[in-house]
Amino acid sequence: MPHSDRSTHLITGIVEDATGRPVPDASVYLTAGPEPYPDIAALSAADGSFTLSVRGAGAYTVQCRTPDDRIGEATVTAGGDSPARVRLRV
Amino acid sequence: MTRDQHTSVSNQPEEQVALAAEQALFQPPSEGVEGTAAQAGSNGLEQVEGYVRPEYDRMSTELWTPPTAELPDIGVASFGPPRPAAETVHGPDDRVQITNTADYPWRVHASLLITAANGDRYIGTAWFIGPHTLVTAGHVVFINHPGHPDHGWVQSIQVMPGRNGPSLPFGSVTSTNFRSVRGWTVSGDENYDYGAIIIPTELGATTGWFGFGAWPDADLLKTTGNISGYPGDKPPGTQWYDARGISSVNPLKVYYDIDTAGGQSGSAVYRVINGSRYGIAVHAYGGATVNSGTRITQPVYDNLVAWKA
Repeated sequence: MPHSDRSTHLITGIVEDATGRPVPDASVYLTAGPEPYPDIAALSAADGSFTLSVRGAGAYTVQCRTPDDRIGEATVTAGGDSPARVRLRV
Repeated sequence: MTRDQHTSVSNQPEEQVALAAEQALFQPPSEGVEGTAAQAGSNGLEQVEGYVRPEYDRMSTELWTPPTAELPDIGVASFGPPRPAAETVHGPDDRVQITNTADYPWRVHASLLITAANGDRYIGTAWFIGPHTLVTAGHVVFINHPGHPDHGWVQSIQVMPGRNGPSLPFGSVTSTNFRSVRGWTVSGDENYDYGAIIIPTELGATTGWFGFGAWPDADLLKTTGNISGYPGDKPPGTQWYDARGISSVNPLKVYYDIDTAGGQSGSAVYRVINGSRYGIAVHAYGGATVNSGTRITQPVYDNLVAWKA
């Protein structure tokens, strides 16, 4: 059966509005990827930042939803030792 | 080796895992001490206004026959290249919102606000198995990000049973007492991704709790799986429900095409037997065409029994 003995790849980023200001308290989660991924959601910090992690390298779709119902989405490629960076604009 | 991976670990300084000598392989539920208890349907589903089971999923158990050919593990199909895009909501989103969250069984499910070691925050879901114990995913209580400041046991989790948006019908309680297993905390193996939250009150005696148990493959493959939890793609703190037949199982995981979204990690995957609810897995991962959870097997069952004591 599948066994995980692989490195963790981080996806970090920021949620910001149309003017570039950070958006706190947005829920940020994965909606697509090349492999199974944890079904947990991050909450963006006061500076809009967040961190998620995956096991498999490849392209992931990251989506966010703000408390006032704005949605942002972007695709990012995770892998390697450095975190993949993504900007979510709502 | 497999047994070692289920060695219970705790963030508390000393913890004795007491295993009862002889037990039936399921634990009964409790409906709690007050309020309304919603009756489950006779078809293994909850009776939820607005929820309609998809036509393709309404296969009679009498028509089901086990495959005679050797079939590959669907989990292997999810890991090998080339890989289709993995999504947690598959096809039309047929989740329905639960608004009577103060009633049993919905109040068994808790919305979680998780604070990691470095202050990062996450949301998840957990479910009561006893007066002061909730089951959740291992990655909810122990974040496996080696080398990152949030790696390790989380600082605290705010537990909000039966939450409905801004409404907390049972208030909230904060826990700093967690359980998981070496297979997750040391090996980071998603096959052992389960854990528990111990709260400092007996709130579960009020909300009630689900039973849980281990069943043979053939039994699970004829079962309808139900999931209700707190997804991040919906209005904050709202509870959403979906159900499907179990797609496949392997010795450590259960696979299902039940729609979920980030924030539902830790939800119960449960079955209804004669009107009573029993957890069969702990939802943890989105996947290619199915989502998956850590299966409740004998060693998982043993740990849950110990953790609820």
